[in-house]
Amino acid sequence: MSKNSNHLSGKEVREIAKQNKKIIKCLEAYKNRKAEESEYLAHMSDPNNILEIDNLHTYFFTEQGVVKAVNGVSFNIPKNATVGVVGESGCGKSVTSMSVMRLIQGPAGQIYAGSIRFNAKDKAGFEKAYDIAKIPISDIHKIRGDQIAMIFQEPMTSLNPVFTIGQQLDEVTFIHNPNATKEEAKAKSIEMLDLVGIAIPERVYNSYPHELSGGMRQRVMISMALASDPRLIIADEPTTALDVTIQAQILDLLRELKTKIDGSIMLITHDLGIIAEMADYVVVMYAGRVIEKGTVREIFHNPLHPYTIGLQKSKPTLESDSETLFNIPGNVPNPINMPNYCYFRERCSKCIKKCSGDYPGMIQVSPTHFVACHLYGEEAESNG
Amino acid sequence: MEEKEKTAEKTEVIDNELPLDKTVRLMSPTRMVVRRFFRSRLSIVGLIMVVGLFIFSFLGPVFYTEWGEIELDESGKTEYSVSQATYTVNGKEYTLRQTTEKSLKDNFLDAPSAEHILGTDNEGYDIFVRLMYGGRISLIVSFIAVFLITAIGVVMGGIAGFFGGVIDNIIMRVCDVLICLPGVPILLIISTILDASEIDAKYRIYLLMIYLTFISWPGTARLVRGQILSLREQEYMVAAEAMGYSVPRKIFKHLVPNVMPQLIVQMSLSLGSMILYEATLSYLNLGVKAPYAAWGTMINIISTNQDILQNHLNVWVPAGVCIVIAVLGFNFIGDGLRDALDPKARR
Amino acid sequence: MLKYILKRLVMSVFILLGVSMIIYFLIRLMPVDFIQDKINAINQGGATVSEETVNAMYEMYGLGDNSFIGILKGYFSWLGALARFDLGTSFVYGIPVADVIFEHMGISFAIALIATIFEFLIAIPLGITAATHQYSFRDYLVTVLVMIGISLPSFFFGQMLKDVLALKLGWFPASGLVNAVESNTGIALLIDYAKHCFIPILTIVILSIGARMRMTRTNMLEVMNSDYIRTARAKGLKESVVINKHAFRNTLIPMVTSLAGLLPSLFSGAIITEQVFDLPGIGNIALDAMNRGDIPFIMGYNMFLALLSVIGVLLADLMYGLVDPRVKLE
Repeated sequence: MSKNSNHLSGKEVREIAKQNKKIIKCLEAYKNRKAEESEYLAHMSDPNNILEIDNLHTYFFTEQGVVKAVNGVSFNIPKNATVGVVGESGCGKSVTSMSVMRLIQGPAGQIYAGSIRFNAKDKAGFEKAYDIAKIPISDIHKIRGDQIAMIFQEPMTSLNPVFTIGQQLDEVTFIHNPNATKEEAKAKSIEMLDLVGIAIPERVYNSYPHELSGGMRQRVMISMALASDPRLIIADEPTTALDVTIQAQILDLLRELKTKIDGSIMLITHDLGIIAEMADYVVVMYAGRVIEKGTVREIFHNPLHPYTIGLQKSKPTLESDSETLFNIPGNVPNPINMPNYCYFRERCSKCIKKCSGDYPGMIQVSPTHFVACHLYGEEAESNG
Repeated sequence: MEEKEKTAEKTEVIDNELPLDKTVRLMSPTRMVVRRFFRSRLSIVGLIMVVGLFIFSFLGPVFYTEWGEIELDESGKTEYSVSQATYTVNGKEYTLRQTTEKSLKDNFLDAPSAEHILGTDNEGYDIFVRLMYGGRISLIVSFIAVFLITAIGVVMGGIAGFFGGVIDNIIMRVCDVLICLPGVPILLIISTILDASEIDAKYRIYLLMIYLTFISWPGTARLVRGQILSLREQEYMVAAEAMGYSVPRKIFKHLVPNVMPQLIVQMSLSLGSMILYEATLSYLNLGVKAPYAAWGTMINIISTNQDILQNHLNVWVPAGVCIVIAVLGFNFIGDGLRDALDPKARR
Repeated sequence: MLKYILKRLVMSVFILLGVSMIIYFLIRLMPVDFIQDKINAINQGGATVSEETVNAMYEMYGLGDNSFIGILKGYFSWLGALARFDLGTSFVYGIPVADVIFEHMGISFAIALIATIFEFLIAIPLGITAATHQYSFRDYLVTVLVMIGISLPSFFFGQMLKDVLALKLGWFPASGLVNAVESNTGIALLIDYAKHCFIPILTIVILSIGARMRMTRTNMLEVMNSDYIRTARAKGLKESVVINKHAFRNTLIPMVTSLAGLLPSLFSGAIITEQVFDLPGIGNIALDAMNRGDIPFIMGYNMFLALLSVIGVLLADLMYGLVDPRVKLE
């Protein structure tokens, strides 16, 4: 093969651009449409779930081709549970959470298909399910920030540098309760700062973000997420940018708060240790797809997918004798033009003949444990 | 035994097809820049404008040789008027015809015609041809100026950024001073000096452009210096230092490719502003002086002659349109390049 | 803070010294008989430049002694006069240069101020819509229009507006500042001023919108991609609040910095526009002075501009500290 075959030809590039333009136009129009509430009402398949992500596809239409960052992801978040989403960087876990918040940067990034059903609570306290993927963008503020709150990865840059912490916190109260007075908002903000364990809330209230340390800023971010009494908190790698002692404090805080606010947490991380500590359920993602999901017990004690097994092996432990860390060879593939076979095939040490076939389907191993791998498909078939 | 079989199968599988990473085909970086540049219709329009003007100015006079830059149409027109009168003298009729020959040398301010495509100006020069010659001056002068500005700016900024300390301080203070010099007023002073020293009208515009270069280089120098300072902090420069690369090698291997995109953008944008400067100077009768043509000089006449301003649009509007096309073309190209070369720009 | 300002002030003085030196040496490059010729021309034109004034200038500029020491001596004697706030006497007007500058600055300042206000009022909303609708038809339309504005030479566009609006349609007077026939007072005079200034201001506004709009758009795009805008959206704020409060407040930072850079242009007069519309602003006066060789005025005017730009740079830094809480001036 010549060297150039790895590059797209001009004709192909134009073809891609043409198609992207068409699709984006259609999706943007759908996103910006006006719609009655009845159009995006949904039905939860299980009323005990707070969030049901069903066959979600989030694509980025780049000039190099369509990047299928999230490619058919399905999982549920039960009420009062913490669901951990793990995977290497670039596997689509952040994009999944951004899709739930509808924060995907258009026009290139779009939710292409699938539904995100959210069990919202209306003003009277009754439950009412919405399909977040169908809500027009002008109505999204009914849910975003109100019932679902998000804590971001980068506390250093996630706060607006020109407003004080107080101004940014009060804002949340005002969105939630437009009739609140300034004093009420301030009282609530200080209460929130107190709740996340900030020692002198009054002083922090009047400071600018740059005057605070990273850990303090993350606490502020958490207090901001809490201020609206959300039913679901999405924490996207909340501790990655912090040092280890602060990490532990923030995690303790999150765990404590979950019981206090009586809500659910979707915790996104690449750190299995955090998952083991925090989560009730685990979703393992690889190259835009869910490859294994189950309770934390099942994933840690009985990992089935070779990737999950590899992930666990690559975690450093004090007990192990070996001098080198285990690593999974290769990288997460760039998800453009993904072929229809198991994406993990080339990095897998347990490849079988069937692996050159179609992408494996989800196989149920126990009521809560699912895996997408041909190894178990055969077993299931031979067993059944 | 089972293990062995599986390994065999695995190698087979991999040999069958290309590995997953290789199935991804991306754009080459050059194609990406070219593609981004041409994706914007404005860049294409800009390119067409500029290339068109170049062909018009440089090839135009080669093919269209009806008139020269300062060639007067002296063909003149001869008008004959015939008057006829009938007299009756002694019952006999006589018809008297009188022919008057009137020679007109009336080629000033002609309306557009087949002979003079855009008519003639108040001196009797062909406007269309003068537009071509004026374009030559504007384009050459601005290219020279931009080239000089970039060259001096890169050298000075490079020296300041690399050596730092006292040298940096001196160069930057000089930049401060030059930036505080009022541009147009000082151009006026220099022009007065040139008037006093009676420099040939043909060359004074070049001298003025050299002055423009002299006050414009600090912008480029600051850009280059800033880039160098921020690049020095980056890991790969530290790495290059650790690998023991020499200073010149560092410059060419690492810094030039990083500064280049911004420089190219700045160059194309300042080409536009240099054309504007040149035109303004010529308009104020400080740049190219009559009888030589420049777009600005061709508009200058209307500041004193209201009749031409109102009634002879063909004399001054084409020159203005040419200036706008040139400046707009360079601006569009500069903008397109900025988008194309910015690695952060995502769409 | 005070220490910082003092430090900057001292530096500014040095910059001004450098600038004045360059301008002074440029003026000294003029041959002396050339200056004499110009003075004679002014005298023939009706004004009388007294022997005394000319001598004072010769002394102030040390003209005639073109050795290096002579030039240096001349420079310091000029500097000495400047220290006594003496910029010399204008040949053309026969009064102190400072008086000429202040007399004609008003009209230039009024026009520039009104034009700048309109420029901001129009350019900023345009920049914001262009940025929030990036790559849409609206973005392209606004971009193309303002780019044409940037590319228009002021003399050409000014003359065009004058031709169409004043001469052809007759809606506005073509030149000057007041109606020469009528003598208005009070409100009528103000209306007369407004009529005369309308086209010049329109010219300046259309020409300057482009740069400001492009700047707003670029800043806005940068801010819109930042993490804190994502946070603001995630809070559930409406898009209009996200743009007009969170994003806009951040784009203000570079905007304010550029405001101070406007200082010189507010007072210096738009030379070309004033020339096209024959307004008695300081720019037009300076152009005239240049053509007639009024050296004391040229020198004084240029120093005035240099002073304004130095103050502008200093103000820009101070304002930066005011708008951006992260910046501490040291």
